[in-house]
Amino acid sequence: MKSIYKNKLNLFLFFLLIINLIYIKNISYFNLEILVNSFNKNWIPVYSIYRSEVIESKYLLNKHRISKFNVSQKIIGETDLDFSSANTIKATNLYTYYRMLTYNYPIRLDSQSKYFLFFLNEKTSEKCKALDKGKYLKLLIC
Amino acid sequence: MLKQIKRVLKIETVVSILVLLILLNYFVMFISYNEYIIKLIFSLYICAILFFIIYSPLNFLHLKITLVVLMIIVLGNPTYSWDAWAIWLFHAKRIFFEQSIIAQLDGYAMWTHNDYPVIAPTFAASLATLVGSWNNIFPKLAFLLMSFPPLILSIKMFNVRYHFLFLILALFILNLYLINGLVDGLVAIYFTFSSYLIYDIFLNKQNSFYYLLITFCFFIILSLLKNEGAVMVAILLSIMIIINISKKEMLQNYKKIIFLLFSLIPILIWKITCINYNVNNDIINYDTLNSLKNMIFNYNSFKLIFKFLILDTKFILSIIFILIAFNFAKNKRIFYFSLSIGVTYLFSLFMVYLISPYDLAWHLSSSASRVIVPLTFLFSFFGLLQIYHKKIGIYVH
Repeated sequence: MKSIYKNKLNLFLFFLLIINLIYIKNISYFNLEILVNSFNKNWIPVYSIYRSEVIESKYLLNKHRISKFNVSQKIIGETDLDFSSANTIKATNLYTYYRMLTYNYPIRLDSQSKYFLFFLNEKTSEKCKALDKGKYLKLLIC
Repeated sequence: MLKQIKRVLKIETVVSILVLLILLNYFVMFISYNEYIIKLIFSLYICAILFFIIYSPLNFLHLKITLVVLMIIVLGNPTYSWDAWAIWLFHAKRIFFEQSIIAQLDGYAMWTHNDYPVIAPTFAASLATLVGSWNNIFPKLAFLLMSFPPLILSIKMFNVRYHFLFLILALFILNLYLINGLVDGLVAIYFTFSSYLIYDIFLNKQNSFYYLLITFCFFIILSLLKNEGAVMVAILLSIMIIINISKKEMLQNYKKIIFLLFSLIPILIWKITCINYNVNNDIINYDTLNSLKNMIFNYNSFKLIFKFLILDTKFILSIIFILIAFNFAKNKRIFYFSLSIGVTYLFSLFMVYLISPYDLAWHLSSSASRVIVPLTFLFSFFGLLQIYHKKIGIYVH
């Protein structure tokens, strides 16, 4: 094995391989904090989710032990999207809604649920009663 | 000589064990979600990898360092790619929490492409079962672990110097696809190595039982990774049959061919299950023929697809590389074999984009750079193989 690395060309290739690995590390979003917490189930993935509303939604739902939730029309955004039109796709921002749905799982989105998440600045019906509110969202029972 | 044979057999055995464990994990989950069996299978998988790394630690040191560093990079990276969190890890999360491989077929969150095969999410869910909890980061590691069997097998294909070159090439082409939670890197690796194994068995007359078994397992894994994977396996099986017919070796090889054809059964079972649960594919469905009729004579569509698929920088570089390698090595057998696979796959990609119900420019811009990676890797690999065979003086005609 030692003889392999005595060869200058092999050594150069080994060096290139290491450079390649360092390059991958540099073009990725590698972060030591993520590495340290990679197996920590309670760690909040602040580097994976770039909308704080999404992270807050889980906090509110967990705090009130809610297993099924609903969201306001403003969070859902446009429904019945026409994906055959590029302009519609570009104009739509479904990130918050989709990320909320995947991040909160196994807490499920259910259109029959009486627990609603609204943006903090959204107007809500008088029939709804506020349960909690955070920095970006409020949790209501309707 | 005896040492060399022992070394080769050890690698083949380790690779066979690893791929069989991946498949066993999938089939056990398909039958029922038994936590203890899943933990046992995944522990065995990790033990086999540890055995490879620790046994004679200085052997293939460069590969071992690469795999360990990649694992560290995966664990230190956030899950930010859309398809990673919305499809692959979400499906894994559903399998983990619902304790069912068909959890995604209940109609919840249909936009996450619930018809996609689940061998990679299943493996990630198994890792989470072993760990005993879920978070957004570590399940991605399972996708990288799945790429180990072919990467370990690559030791057998090249000598040390060319293996260095192979790894450099693989890291250059696949880079972030190995660590970001997408399965496109996995598809590229399994596609290329499955192609190599077909070449070795049917054109190089490799008669090892291990090779046939590994090819069979690679085919199953490839077809269950993504829908593209199933298309790739169909292409490889067709080309395998064509080669045997043209060489008049069909009768001689019929047992191997029939054995490999059985590799399609798991993906067929998955597709039938999807149909039973009324979960359809967003591209290939009842409107496919209508979409094709509308698009096939549209010159602008072809131009757009060509622009996105063919004018990809790394893809162009891989074509230049394989042409230079062919000019240098004149290995018609490898060149025409890889070209036939590559062109057929490219044709199938054109067809998929032509029948796409989505806005073509958006669909291409969001996926073309990913789906072309397997072809880039395939051409680069076979380019390097041509040069290597020339170097070691393998017969060419």
